[in-house]
Amino acid sequence: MRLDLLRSERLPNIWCPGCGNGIVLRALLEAIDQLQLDPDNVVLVSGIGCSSRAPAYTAFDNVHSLHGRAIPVATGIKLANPDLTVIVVTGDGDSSAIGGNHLIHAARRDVDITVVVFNNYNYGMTGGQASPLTPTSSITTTTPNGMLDRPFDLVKLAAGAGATYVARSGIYFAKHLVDHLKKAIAHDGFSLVDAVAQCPTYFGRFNRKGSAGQMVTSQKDWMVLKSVAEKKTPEELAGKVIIGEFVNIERHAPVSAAAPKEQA
Amino acid sequence: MSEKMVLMQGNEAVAEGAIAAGVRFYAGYPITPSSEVAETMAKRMPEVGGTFIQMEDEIASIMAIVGASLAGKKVLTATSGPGFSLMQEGLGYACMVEAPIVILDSMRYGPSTGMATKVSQMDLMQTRWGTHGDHWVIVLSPSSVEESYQLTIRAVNLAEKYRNPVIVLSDETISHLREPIDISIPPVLVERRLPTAKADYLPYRTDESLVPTVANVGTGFRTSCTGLVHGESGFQTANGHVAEALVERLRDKLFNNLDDIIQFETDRVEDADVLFMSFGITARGVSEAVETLRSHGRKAGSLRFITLFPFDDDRVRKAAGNARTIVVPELNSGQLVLLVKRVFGDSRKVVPMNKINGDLISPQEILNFLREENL
Amino acid sequence: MGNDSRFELRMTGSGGQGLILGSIILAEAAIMEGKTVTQSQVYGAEARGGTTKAELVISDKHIAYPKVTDPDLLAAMTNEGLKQYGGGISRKTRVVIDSSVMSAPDSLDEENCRGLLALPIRSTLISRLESELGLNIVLLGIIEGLTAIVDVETLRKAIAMHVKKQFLDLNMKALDLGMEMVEAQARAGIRI
Ligand SMILES: Cc1ncc(C[n+]2csc(CCOP(=O)(O)OP(=O)(O)O)c2C)c(N)n1
Ligand code: SF4
Ligand SMILES: [Mg+2]
Repeated sequence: MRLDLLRSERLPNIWCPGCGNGIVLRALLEAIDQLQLDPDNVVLVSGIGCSSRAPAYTAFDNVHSLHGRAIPVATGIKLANPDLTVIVVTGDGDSSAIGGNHLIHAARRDVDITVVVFNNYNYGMTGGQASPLTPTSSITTTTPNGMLDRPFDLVKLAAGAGATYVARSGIYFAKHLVDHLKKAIAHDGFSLVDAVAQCPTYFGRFNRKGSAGQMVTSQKDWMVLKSVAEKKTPEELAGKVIIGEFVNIERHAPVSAAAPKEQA
Repeated sequence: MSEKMVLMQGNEAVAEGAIAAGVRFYAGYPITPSSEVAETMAKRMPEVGGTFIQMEDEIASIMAIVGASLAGKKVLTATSGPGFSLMQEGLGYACMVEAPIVILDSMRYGPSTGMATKVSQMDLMQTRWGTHGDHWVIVLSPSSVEESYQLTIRAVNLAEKYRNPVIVLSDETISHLREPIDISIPPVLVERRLPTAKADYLPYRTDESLVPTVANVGTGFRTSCTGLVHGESGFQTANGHVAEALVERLRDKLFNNLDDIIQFETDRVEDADVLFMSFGITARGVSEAVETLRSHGRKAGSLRFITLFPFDDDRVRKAAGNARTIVVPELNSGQLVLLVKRVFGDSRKVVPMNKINGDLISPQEILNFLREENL
Repeated sequence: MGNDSRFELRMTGSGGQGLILGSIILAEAAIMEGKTVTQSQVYGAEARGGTTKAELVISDKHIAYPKVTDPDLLAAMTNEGLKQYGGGISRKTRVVIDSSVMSAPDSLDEENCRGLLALPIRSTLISRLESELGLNIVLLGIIEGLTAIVDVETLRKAIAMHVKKQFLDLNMKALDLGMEMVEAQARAGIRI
């Protein structure tokens, strides 16, 4: 990987040992590098959370905004300067709880930005509380008896809201992740990648998921490639998470109707 | 003069003032009584090569203008109390990353949803203290349509010059009032200072102006911005000394320039024995009351705050003359009067005059008040 | 408020009658003649179909307080309008009402206003011009007939700025109709 895409002087990072954030960040830099984007034209915008610290370790222009608000900031930047490649780095809580409204509206507008969700199924930064992506029954510090609610399916949420590129991947599938990040960034329109990573410190520990390494390798057991999943029955897919590309359609072309003239 | 005069509504004047000042990005969410600003911008932005976007709420609106500002645009959003409450976190963020932004808050009757179509001046303190943490904003208060235009231009210029949020604090009456104004004279524009050399670039390093030269994103300087406490590099730190220096600088970059920022309008203060201190729409009733009082031989005067914040006690004291009685009429339960009392302590008789029924204070009511209170 | 050149007008009626536009047209005519104005209206639900109010202050001098406090002319086009916004008048105030939709209220007499002019505005508009549109312009004609606050030609220019070409003729006739109605009153010796 190109080290010049990192601000090495900012390292070491704040993440716990075994945290998945570094691996998602690495995949993102790899994707940017493979796409041969001019680093001067790339802007990373983030919210608040462990994951949202990632942009400050990169050598791009980066804006660390407020909890949940990365998407509107990114929208402003993109509209102000459409030549830029604008990428949002966000957490599952940042993007789907406090920022959920911004997410669906950006998808609906099909703003040409890419949202990379560092999905660790909980609020890492504040100590492992439940997020809207926390699976039912999971233990978090705010669901000590198990999560009662159902989680969002982020892929369906984004697709339903009108995103024109949606994919999911996991850090165990490194190349798969990079490939889908590349397609998302290259996509003309609103794109989202649900990048499943691990938070061993909280979610992993509370839910007895084993070591960080085990959390990563276990992805191959509970994640199923979309092409494989298509041949399976719903029973066989119970408890599995499907990865792959779910939406890849042409950008919604804005139709401009001439404004009606004012009537006297 | 009449050919140049165009009849304009206060909100339109804000939009046109912003455009004249170079604003080319508007994001907002509709709310009475500010919506005409959005409606005007929706029509006008495409005509001048700018961008208009209606966001999903006011949180998104302020964040979008912060984003566009960081990308180099002059920006505006407009709202009213309920939306201004939602904008508070973004306002603090803009203070911290030093993004030039301009917000119009057209005051309606609060609290909560209140009365959407009724006037008040109840957001005065919210402009100053609405967001958490020590921070400083510039707040300008127009009292006419003409001034809505001029002060919006000034707001954009001050925002760019000091890299700070500027709030234009208007109200329902001025927003919807139509008056003839002259917009034929092109304004003097201020551009934000930008870094010149990439070598040794530190986005938040400042010279004696204390205003940093943060590069616009996308111009190759590779800047980091954060709402966390940061040093000159723009990177987060939890160092108490850096934090203290940052917050002091955010204050001093404005307070070292009070002559540039603070404006009052005074009317016959010199020999006044009763002085009115007011702002915004209320000052227009005052102005007429002073006229009438003078015509009856009463030595009345007026001080109108054009700049509300920063509020400088010394300057107010100097501008206030020697009137023994100071009456502070305002459309709230007593906000400006708190500041006036702070300035004068017990050295003058400071009398609040409040109206909170959604109507203006008329000149006649001011005259009656003086009579009833034996002032 | 001792300012002799100050003229205060309040018009009230129901949303859709075009009273706000009427006040804007008169404001623009006054501006063309070098006068200064402040125009305002009630906002919100009232302005969208319910009872509405438009106010205009015209003066040769700077206008400090922008709202109507002591109207020279109050024009009420509905009963509801008069009820809601008919207060605050004095012996200085001329009151015009549309007698085709409302009856003259007993409360208005020489004691509390300068005079009451009850004119069948709407019905005359319909019978003479076969139109329901243009009530606001007939009213401007009446105001002009009563006050000559601006030159008629200036008023025509201001109207032309605001109405579509195909309705221009109708609106000019509406203006004439309003002025005629005032003249007819004067000829009949009715004190206006
Ligand atoms: C308005 C606001 N509310 C709450 C917080 C506290 N907070 C900081 S990060 C966070 C959750 C982060 O979770 P996620 O987005 O999943 O990111 P992660 O840390 O897991 O990467 C919360 C609630 C905040 N910073 N701002
Ligand atoms: S708390 Fe969890 S998400 Fe945050 S750095 Fe540690 S492991 Fe990563
Ligand atoms: Mg998380």
